[in-house]
Amino acid sequence: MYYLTIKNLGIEKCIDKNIEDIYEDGQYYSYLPDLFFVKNRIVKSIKIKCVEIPGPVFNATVYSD
Amino acid sequence: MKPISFFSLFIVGIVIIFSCTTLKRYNSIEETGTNNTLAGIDLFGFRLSDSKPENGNKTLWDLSADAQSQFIKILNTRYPDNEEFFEAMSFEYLKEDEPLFPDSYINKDLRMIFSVFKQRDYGNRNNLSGIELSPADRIEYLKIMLSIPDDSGVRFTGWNMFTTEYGTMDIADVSFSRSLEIDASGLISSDKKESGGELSTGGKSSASSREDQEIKYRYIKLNGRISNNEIEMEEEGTREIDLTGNIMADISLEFERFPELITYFIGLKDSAGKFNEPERIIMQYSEVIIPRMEKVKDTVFADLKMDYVYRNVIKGENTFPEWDDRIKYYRGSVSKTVPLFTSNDYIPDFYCIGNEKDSEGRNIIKMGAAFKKEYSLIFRTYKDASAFREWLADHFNRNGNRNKTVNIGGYTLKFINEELTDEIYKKLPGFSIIPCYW
Repeated sequence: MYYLTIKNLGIEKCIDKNIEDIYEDGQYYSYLPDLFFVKNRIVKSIKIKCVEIPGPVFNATVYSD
Repeated sequence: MKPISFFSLFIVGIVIIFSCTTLKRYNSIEETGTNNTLAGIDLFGFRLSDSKPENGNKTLWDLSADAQSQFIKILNTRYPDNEEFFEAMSFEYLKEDEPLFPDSYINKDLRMIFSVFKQRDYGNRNNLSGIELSPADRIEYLKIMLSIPDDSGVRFTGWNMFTTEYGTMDIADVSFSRSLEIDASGLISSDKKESGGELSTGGKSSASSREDQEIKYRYIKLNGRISNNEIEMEEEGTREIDLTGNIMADISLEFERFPELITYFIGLKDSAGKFNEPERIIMQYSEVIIPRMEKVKDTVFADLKMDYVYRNVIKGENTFPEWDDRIKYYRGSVSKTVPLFTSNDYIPDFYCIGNEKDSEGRNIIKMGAAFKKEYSLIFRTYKDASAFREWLADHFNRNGNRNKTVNIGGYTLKFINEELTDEIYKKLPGFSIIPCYW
């Protein structure tokens, strides 16, 4: 499983997960979910955009279990 | 005496009268130097508070003078009692409902108090600056710049106030008299108030003058500039105004935005004060905007710089007036890093229910929704979190709820990767109300 996470105010949370690594720069995601995730291995760091606040780009990390 | 020499004397006399009685900034000036040790600046006070937008409420005092007069007559008729009448004058009209809680936590008001000081080691040439200082010295010009790093996650948005203790002042009368002697063939006596004079030929001449100057309101020049990450304040003093002292600046600032979901529960207890069953509880979500900052910075720092012009009196320091001073200007510059605000000032005071924080992050109760979506259970206040925790404890203490999950409004309570039951709740140590961010 692949987990897409973002970090704010010291809290890292998973906003999406998928059995395949579908995550790429520039994709839009909702930042509201807080899913359970496992951070065994860092796959990559990407820059994604927020559905709730369009415009700015946020750093995100993709983990796999 | 020839007419030509009389005319020359007359011209010389007029020139002397006006040159000696007109206020001067200084008597003479030496070449400007550079010295960075003569003055300094500190940011000794700061306060970050929630920005409150102005409401549209109107009071009696927002009306025109005529309308005020009419309104007061009406109030006087309607409220004959003195106390009620005075209360009525403070009424607000066209009131808008104020929201109980804000939806945005990114706008703040920052009040800063700068303290500008100068060296006061008077009469001692062996001081730090290597310059002989006197009580007549003053800082004549200041430029203060405060800048925050581009990646600080915050920007300046507005300037509300910039005040110094010399913003407006009344220095009343400045009166002085002086006398001087000149070697010229003439006698000049002048009184400026009479705007006339006598002139006669003679040997040794003397002149005396008296000036009364009234300056009712004297302003120092205040300029301010603001950009996304820098504010600049300029202050220029006039005669006898030393710019040492405190400067207060009120700035509005805005953090970058990040969305968060806040949960409310309605109906945790019934009208008799008993805890309700989950199906009678209504859960509501509210989306709020909080500051975006990957890591919580304990303190946000800014670069503070001050450029100044220092007026050093080399001669004439024993008199209050400045026109007789022999002076030298020094340019200087000081800079330092100052704390602007701390994490407690900008982190929203939200609460969760879960395990105590550790290096791996927080473990908190979440709400599981359809399509395997989960959301943090975040409460706006400690009181809200405490009320739900009480309800949860009561719920799990009921015999009928053993090993059952908790479902409220189509959501299931989850903890880590499991649905929350009384077994998990009671088994885990330190299950308490914890701050959401740290």
